[in-house]
Amino acid sequence: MNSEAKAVSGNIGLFVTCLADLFRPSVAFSAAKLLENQGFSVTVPIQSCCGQPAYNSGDERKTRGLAKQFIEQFEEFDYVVAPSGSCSSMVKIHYFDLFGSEPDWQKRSQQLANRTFELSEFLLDVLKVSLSGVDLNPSNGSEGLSDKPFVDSKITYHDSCSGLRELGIRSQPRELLKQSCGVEIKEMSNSEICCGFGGTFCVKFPEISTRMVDNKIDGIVETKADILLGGDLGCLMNIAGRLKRTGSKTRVYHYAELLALETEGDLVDDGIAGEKNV
Amino acid sequence: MAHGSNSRQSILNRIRSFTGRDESGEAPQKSWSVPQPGYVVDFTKDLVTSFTSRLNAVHGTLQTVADFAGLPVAVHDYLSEAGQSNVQELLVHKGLVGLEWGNRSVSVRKAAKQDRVSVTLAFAGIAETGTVVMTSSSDSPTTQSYLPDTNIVVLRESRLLATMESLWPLLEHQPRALNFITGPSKTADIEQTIVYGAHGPRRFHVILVKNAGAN
Amino acid sequence: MEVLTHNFKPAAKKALLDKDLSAAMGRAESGFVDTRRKVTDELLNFEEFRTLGRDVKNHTLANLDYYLELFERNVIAQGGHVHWAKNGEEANRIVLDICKKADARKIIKGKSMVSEEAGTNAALERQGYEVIETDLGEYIIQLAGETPSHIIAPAVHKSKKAVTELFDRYHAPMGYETVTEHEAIVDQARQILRDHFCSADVGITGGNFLVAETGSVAIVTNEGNGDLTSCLPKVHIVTTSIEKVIPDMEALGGFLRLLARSATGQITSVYTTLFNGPKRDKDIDGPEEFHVVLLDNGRSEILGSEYQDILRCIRCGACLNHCPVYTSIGGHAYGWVYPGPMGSVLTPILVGRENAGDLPNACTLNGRCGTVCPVKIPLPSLLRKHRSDLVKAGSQGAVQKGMLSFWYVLARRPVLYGVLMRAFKTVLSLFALLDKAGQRGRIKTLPGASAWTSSRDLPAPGKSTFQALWKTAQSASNESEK
Repeated sequence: MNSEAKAVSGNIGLFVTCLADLFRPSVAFSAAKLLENQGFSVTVPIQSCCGQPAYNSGDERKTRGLAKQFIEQFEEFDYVVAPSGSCSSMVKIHYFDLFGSEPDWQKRSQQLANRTFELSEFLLDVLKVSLSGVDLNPSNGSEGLSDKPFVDSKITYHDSCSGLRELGIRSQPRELLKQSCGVEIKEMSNSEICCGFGGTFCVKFPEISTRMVDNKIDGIVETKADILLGGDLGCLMNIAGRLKRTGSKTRVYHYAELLALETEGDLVDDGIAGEKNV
Repeated sequence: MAHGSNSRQSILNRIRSFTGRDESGEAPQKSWSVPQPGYVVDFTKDLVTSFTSRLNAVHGTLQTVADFAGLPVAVHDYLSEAGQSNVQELLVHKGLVGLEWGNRSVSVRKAAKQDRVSVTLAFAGIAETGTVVMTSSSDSPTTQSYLPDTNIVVLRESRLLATMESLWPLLEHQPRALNFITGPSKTADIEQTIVYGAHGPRRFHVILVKNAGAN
Repeated sequence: MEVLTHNFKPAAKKALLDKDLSAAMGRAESGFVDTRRKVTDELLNFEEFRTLGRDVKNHTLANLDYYLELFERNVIAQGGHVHWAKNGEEANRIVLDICKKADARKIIKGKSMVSEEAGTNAALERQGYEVIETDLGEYIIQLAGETPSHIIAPAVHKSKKAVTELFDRYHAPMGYETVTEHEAIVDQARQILRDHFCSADVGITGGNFLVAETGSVAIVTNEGNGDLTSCLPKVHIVTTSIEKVIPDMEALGGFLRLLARSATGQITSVYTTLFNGPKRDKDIDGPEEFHVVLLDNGRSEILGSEYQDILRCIRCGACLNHCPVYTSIGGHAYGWVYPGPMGSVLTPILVGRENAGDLPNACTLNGRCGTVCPVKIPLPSLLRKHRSDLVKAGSQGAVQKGMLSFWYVLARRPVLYGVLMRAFKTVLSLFALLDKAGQRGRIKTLPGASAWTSSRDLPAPGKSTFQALWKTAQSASNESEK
């Protein structure tokens, strides 16, 4: 690790996110591993939800209750890192607006927001790992990129809307995948268009949501990708669920799962909503 | 006002309850200026080239003549090329009546739906967008720019401006209609397919006069 | 226009089944989005212009009374008339009155969304006037008896084939032949509408910008129909609304660079015209009377509210073209004049939130609309604000309310939450067993979750929640360190 990277150290509170906690623990394990590989001590404080579903449903009172709880759970850490653009954006961008009439909480939320990051943003923008030339994952294929898992797969990437438009996350995961795994993304034409998840939207307006995810899948199919990656489980569960329902063989993973992988054989399964192979 | 005077007052009152201004309120201070538009290629360097390329991009055509005396021949040639050589009457701007038009008659009048060709005189041109600026007057009827199938626009090179912002100081007063025209009429209302000649001219041709003299 | 916003869900479902509509919307989306990107990239400081657009509109709204009165004075000084209308009904009365005084029979129209809002055509037709829309898209939907499905491309939902059939039905009796190609269709409309242009008594257009400093009304078109509508009949009426006013020509230059780029992906529209009153003394053409009808219809009440930013809207339609919901279902499902993101913000305010609660919710908050808005309206935030106001008014659905409350109670008790999530996980795992043996990664049906599972599989959870697994792993590693 270079000197620039070394300058950053401390305790990280891992913001697991509800969906990773319930549906895909391997995403959070991967995030923890990537952070620990960089010398951080990772703690998982007891947590539930940051309040985003309530916020997007328009229930500010409930959102404030959960936001205060979240702030209390996480403000002791030097950094808060989440493997999700929309969840970290909730803390980074939206908490501030919630506390217009509670300046003390607004200040606390702002202090926490300044230390909260989406995983790839933290790794690349804060730690600058790729600039240091240090491997994210020293134990996978030490002989160079040609040995890395999935280096021969055709991989495409879905940009989740909150991460993309609220946090400006676009190049970071791609750069990390390239530097660390030798993965070149085969871009789809509609990578920046919403997949139709939208939190409760997908169950309030299931038909519209299905049309949107079908449009997304058209873009994925065009790339002939074997694997779809993304940075938000909501979108990935939506796309994977539809891919599987329509009989597609395309496997879906969170990018952190690939970054943290040592060999292809270590995969616990063949992706989100995939058929288990263990 | 015969109409809506009560409404006028109630709408303004409601607005004033927000702006907090009274009827004698002073002019507000403006705090902005329009930035100079910046393009990949600097369009201000060569106005004729910029104007031409913008115009061509929207299916307008352009030719250059040395002076006004060269106009009738240029118009004749263009009409031949466009398959319009049998046109007998040209609707024109009053300032062009005195030119030597040969066999064709010229009239300064309101256009009608059967009129085929007009030769109008632009007040100015705008290089940023490939636009001609038409000012309505007794010499320059608006309908001439819209009804004929073919609109030939005469533009003095000395009046070719970089941007719309350079136009305002030249206009002494607002004409009844100030028309900015950029290419032939078109529509994409059916399946996003562009078709020229929706309601206005199908052919839009600019003749740039290099040395317009004092005309 | 009739308000059908309460019917959003069934209308959207129906729209999704319409294959022609889907094809049309697919074409439109890619057309508008790609062309816009090209021309906004080419203008290197497009962002500066967006900021300018926002600032100028904010300034104008903050001084709206001043600029409206200045505009009015200048229109009158040029011999025009200005009429103020509280609502659509009053606007229509004003228009009818002018038509009556002008002894009019035939009225031609350029595109005006404000007149759609007021339902002006219907009001005129009820009084026996012949009303002809002249924008090709508007003409098509007028023949079809429909309303615009897009604010700048009203017939975007119509296929060429549908237009051929319509023209056949209405033009064949007039002796016109069947037209099937784009050029021929446009040419036939051109011929028919020319006759109307030249025989109409009154022309009605909208107004894109009202320039206060000069009393000018600016309209922007590509077909030239707005100009013919304004300069051939003896009376020209502009139906527009109070928030369209801008201070001066300098501001106009800024907005024109934003509008065409955002709307149709053009550097500029073919025709931009400033109208400055009626025909002058020696003029050979132009209308003898010039009227501007300024509609309020609830806009003045938006001033100073949390929704004020929506008054900056210049009706370019970029938010529609970039909205994945709009491009999936088209405009009619929204049930009123203004569809898509700007409509989902504006409509609930103008027709009543209680009638249009689905609109702000029918959005994934993906934020794409906000990034393309030429005047930087924070559309996603305003949509979320509507949701918040719906909750405050108690108008969210009982099921949604109940579920949210239950979940909140849990989430506020993280330990209990953890226990219940683990239990939930066990239940979910049982449903995964219903899938084919040996392939237990997903759930195909789940009672109470059909909205998800009717079209998507649900990933099956693993052995336990991450938090429980992590705790176990931490204690194991602590043990081994001892």
